[in-house]
Amino acid sequence: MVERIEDLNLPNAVIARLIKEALPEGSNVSKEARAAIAKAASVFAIFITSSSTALAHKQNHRTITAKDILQTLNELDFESFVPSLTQDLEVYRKMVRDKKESKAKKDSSAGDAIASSSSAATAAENEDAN
Amino acid sequence: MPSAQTLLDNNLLFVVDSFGCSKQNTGALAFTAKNEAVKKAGNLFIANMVDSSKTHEQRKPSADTFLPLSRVRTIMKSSMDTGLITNEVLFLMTKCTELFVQHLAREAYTASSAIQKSDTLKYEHLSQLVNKSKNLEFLLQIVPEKIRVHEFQEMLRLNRSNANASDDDDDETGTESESEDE
Repeated sequence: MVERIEDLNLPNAVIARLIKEALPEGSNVSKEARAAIAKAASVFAIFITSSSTALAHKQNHRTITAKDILQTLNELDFESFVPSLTQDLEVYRKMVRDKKESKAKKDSSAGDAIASSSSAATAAENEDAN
Repeated sequence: MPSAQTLLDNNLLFVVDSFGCSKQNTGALAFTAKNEAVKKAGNLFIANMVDSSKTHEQRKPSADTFLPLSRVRTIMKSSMDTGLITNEVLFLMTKCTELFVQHLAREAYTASSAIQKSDTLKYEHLSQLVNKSKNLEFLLQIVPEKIRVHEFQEMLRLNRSNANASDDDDDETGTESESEDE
């Protein structure tokens, strides 16, 4: 649970960098605008999470999946995010798969049972999400 | 882009020129080789520039996130009865939030630059965007439009006079509802 309300703030420096990336070169952002965007981003995350949770519950699922989030985005008029997010997700899944394979190779030689079981657990999670 | 290309070429030539002056005795062959190399680097630079300007529309998909995953997880957990959060969902939400930040900034900026020529993104631009975008409705209380104190006082006065007027009109219904509440 959240102890302090500041725990819900996103780091200012990262937000500033993201904004800078999105705007044409040479443009400035006022401090107030940056703070407002950071706050809006936190609220957006909460908003999407609770909407996706509601959607998952409607389908009698207890945990939210990537599909729930994408569908929620579609329903809430943020469908412009979906194509790039789908691409990112593909890259991420591939990365996880590659990591798992290389780890499995390492484990078979080193015999690290704990690590392999934990990586298998995350793999199962991801397959479930698929 | 062609103007940028020629500009850069001129700059490169200038750089190469000064370079060539200091090493004139090394021979023309070496000089042309250097020239080629620098030109190539310049072209690469231009390609990169084009690439970065394209990212506004078509960015490269990647598995890297800028925002801290742990913080996003905390934010997600603060939402009601969220069960287990898988790593994949966490990644997706982080990416999604990043996209949202950039979307908000870009939209507000383009909307503001259409109205007045300014290169600074201000709070007012954001609140205006939130006010007129249907899908940003959930931010209305988070990024409210600013009003001046005397405007607020005026509103308050209007409200009060309205309330008084309605009180005068249907005084009985008002007391009725009050007693119902109790």
